[in-house]
Amino acid sequence: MNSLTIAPKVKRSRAKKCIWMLILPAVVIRAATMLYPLCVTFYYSLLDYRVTKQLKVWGGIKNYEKFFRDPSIKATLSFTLRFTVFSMVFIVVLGILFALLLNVKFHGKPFLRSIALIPWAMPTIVIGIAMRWGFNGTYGFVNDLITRLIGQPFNYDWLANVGSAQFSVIFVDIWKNTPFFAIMVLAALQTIPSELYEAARVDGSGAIRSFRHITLPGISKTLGTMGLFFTLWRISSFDLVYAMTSGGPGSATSLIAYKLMLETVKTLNYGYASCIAVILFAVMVLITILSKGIMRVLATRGERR
Amino acid sequence: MKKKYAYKIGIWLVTVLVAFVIMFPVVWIISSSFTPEDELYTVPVSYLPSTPTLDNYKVMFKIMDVPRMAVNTLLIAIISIVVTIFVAYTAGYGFARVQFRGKETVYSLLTFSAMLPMIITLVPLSRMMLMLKLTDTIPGLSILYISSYIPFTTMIFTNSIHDVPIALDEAAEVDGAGLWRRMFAIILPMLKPVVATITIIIFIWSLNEFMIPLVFSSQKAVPLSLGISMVPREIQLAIPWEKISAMGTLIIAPIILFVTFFQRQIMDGLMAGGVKQ
Repeated sequence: MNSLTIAPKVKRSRAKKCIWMLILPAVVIRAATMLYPLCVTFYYSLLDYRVTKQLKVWGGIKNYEKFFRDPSIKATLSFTLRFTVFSMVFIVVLGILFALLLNVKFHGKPFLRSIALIPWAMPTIVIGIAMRWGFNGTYGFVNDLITRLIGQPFNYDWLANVGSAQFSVIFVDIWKNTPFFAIMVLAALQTIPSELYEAARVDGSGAIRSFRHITLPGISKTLGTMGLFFTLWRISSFDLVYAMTSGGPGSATSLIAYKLMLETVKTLNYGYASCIAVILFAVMVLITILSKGIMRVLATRGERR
Repeated sequence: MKKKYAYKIGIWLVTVLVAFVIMFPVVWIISSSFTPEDELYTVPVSYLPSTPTLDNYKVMFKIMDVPRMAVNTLLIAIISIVVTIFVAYTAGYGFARVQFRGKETVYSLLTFSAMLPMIITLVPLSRMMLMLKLTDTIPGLSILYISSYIPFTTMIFTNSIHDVPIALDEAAEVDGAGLWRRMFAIILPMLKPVVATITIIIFIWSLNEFMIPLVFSSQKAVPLSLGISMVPREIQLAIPWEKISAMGTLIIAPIILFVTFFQRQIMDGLMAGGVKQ
């Protein structure tokens, strides 16, 4: 009798040990490469830590003061904001339209779906370097296509001027990411039962009405989550400008993550780099909390209606 | 009837336009790689080579150790695929099948960490890698790749193991199958499509990775994605397009093949939550 009551307990505790073994590798890898270094980053951001001067002493909030006084940071922040906002607006709007096209039943569907995956699968570094050449003032294909279109020679050095360089970077970012966003929206579109559309058609509502009242509510959750992910990725992206403009002309296209990268691998000012990383992290957490809050409010409002 | 016809034509027109915008730069890279060098530096641009040539590739192979980079890329990809799938599957099984204290917390921490890019931890990471002598080595790079793939793959495995009836585990347990046998001989075979999808997606992710090699490799463990940025340039803004396009084609050719062959699996995987840039 006694042994019977004890046995399951023993067994369960052994199972429990096994469970920790199961999730341990994943947790250890993530803790060692994300959680721990993140904490160290906080600490480093309070140091005056410069490899080139072999300096590693306490600095307090010196790095943060430097950050808010640094004149080049202002350009960086303003372009990061512009890059994120413009890219996101176009990615979301074009992404929804593209998703609707991908959802249409017609013979070109498999072809179109394969094509939609290509920008997502293309390494940013490859398309970035290629587009540095594509936007070249003399031999680039962008000027050449415009020349052929308008019928007279068009020569413009896109990446040498502030406004057009920013435009070009944002343009390529939209090209690279819209199809991926569309695929995620497509996943949501496919969960909307087609009976809803049929019922709406029977009721005599047009395409725009059913888009507003059936499609949009059906994909709103995905739009929210994906919108958040894509926004965070825009804020922390550096490889596109690394490949395409090297942050130039001047620091007109130097995104915050690109700046962080330069401090880490070029100037080797580890303290300052960590400070930028902490600020980037804080901004990302803030955006996450804000957008979660907004989504919750929108969801409850939708329910009440 | 007429309206339907117009609608169909409209759809095809838009499709062709979209396909053109997406494919133009890709086709341009590939065709440039077969164009003789002097033809690339002409105005107007010639999009198709008059006499296709492999010269650009020959030059490329002469100035850079492309085969070695290709081997590095493949090695890292294979290690990442095998280890990630093992780690994420066992973790997913733990999360989906067993109740234990703190599970929710650990799981939500893990999924939250998916949103954090590795770029914010680069400084301490590079110190750690240096201390462990992992900088510029295949295992060193692989562990970082794996780390960045774990959150999403664990989520996918957790969700798909949830969908497998628990009765299967219980039946196997009654038959005397141990935990490992249940996990790898009974449940894992049922998830073959998921494993295939994750394999393909990790392969593409690993070809795409640029930040990790940029920071952590210099000479020995250089993959193709870093290699293309190391092609020597005379001036920053001028690009040695004949070499870059050849190198670019070498990288994107397998990607395009994969995407066309495995379109369905990749789509399924992305839609199941394989969201990582």
